[in-house]
Amino acid sequence: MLEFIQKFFGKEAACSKNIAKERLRLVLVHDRANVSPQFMEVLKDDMIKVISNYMEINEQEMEVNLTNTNSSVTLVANIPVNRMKRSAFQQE
Amino acid sequence: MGEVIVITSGKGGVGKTTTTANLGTGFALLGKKVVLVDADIGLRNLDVVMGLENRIVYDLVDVTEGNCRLKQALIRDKRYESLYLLPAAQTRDKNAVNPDQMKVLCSDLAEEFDYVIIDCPAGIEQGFKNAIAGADRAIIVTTPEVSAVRDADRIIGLLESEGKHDPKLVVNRIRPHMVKKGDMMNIDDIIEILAIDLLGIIPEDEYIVISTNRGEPAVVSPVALASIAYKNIVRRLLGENVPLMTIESNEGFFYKLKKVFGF
Amino acid sequence: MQEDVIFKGSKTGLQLLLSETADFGNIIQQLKEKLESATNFFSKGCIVKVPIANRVLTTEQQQQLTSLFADYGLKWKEVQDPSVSDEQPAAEPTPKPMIITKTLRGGQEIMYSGAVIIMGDVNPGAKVTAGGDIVISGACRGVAHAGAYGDEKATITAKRLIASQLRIADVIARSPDNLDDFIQPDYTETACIKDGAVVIEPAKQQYTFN
Repeated sequence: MLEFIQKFFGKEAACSKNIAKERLRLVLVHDRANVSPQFMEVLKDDMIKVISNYMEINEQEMEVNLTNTNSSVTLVANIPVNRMKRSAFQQE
Repeated sequence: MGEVIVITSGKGGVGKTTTTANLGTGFALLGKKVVLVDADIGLRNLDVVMGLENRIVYDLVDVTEGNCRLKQALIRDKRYESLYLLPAAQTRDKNAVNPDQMKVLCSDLAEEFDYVIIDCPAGIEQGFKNAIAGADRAIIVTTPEVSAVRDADRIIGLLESEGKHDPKLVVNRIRPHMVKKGDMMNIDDIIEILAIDLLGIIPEDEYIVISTNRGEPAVVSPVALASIAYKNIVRRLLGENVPLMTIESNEGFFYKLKKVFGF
Repeated sequence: MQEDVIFKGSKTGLQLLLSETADFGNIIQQLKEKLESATNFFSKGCIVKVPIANRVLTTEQQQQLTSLFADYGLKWKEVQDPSVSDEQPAAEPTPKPMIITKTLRGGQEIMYSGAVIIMGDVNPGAKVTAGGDIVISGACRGVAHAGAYGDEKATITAKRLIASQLRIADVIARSPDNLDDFIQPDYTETACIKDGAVVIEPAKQQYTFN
């Protein structure tokens, strides 16, 4: 009966599928952020490869992390740059 | 050289075995040479769904351990000449086989058959790793439930880390009237969340229960909704462009379906 | 997985083969797992033979083995040669029938060199392999293999003989595909080999072992 009334007044959010979808979205944000250390290492290596084409970076002090908040996940990379590479610009 | 397809889901009970049986039989209906491989060692089920449980002499573990030749373990289907089953062992566990053995097995089968379809066990442990080891492509089965979609997402990630890219999605057990009421996630919702290509949708159909009772895949039926849905998927896998079943309508699902198929 | 511990059924009973090279701790661990996973398989008081040529055990190791077996109601003794008995002529008496007092469920497996008597059912997916006859007091819905070493005179008897598959010696029979018009008789039946095929007939009133 309640459902009917809610539908009658056009309360979309009351549909259980929307609840399902929203819950799922949140769950997946967290699931996907729980990646393995190996994954992060691979990501880091790839980033180094790409960035090294353009600049010299301090690989030892480079930090790559996923940070979790309630509603989103952010990739935070802190990469100290030693020197820009000239060759990268000259190719243009 | 045939194609090796693994049917997987993460969560149990979403219809992997039913999908394996129906897609395999669907290929056989079109004259393709198919072998179904039950990779659920210790909890085999594909044999009963296919109605071949009383013909098992050797199984997958017998093959990998060299107790018999591959051909001896293959059971020919009782309806279709070009359809075979390689059953799982029932008295062993997942650790009786390793991914390397499965790779060899799959490539041996792919030499003989057009399609090798692997029924993956639920979970993400050894059995899953075995099942996907030799696969060229993956089909993920899910239902419109939070738990099943979440597990499907996990599986997509695991497949990617194993180098199996671009899996296709089958959404099983859609209930049109619940979707219409807004009490079940619809296809767009699921695709939006999982962000992979949709291969097909299977409506909830009581005929699946009946056909499983009989040990005869639903796809054999010319009229059952699930049968038509599975046949569509088979044609899509063969490269045909088959439109999706329409499931939301004012007149009800069946009416619309009748309109689509013109009877 | 490397199998360091192998149980082998033979005409003279159960033999335990231990890897010559594996670490003894691993062996005990694997043995424990095997005993745990197959408590049905090992009937109480059963004597397991351990061929010494296979692996020389220290006194301490022997004690460990004894106490592990004792936990499962088993004993063991050393025998001289690993290849004993396997192919020896049937000079030894046939072993006593093994009696199982519960229902065998899917995935459970009994292997015994002599006859097997089951006071219960054999469910689908369960398997009984016997060197001699098989007698089941309840329903047989799984796989039964009598005369597994080639004895074509072996029989399979069950109160309800609806096995998915019956094997006697090297002959295999399976249940009919169409069970719709199949009427299960309410008397005990026996399967045996006649003219090279497995046939099922009403059991003799009194079943006796010879």
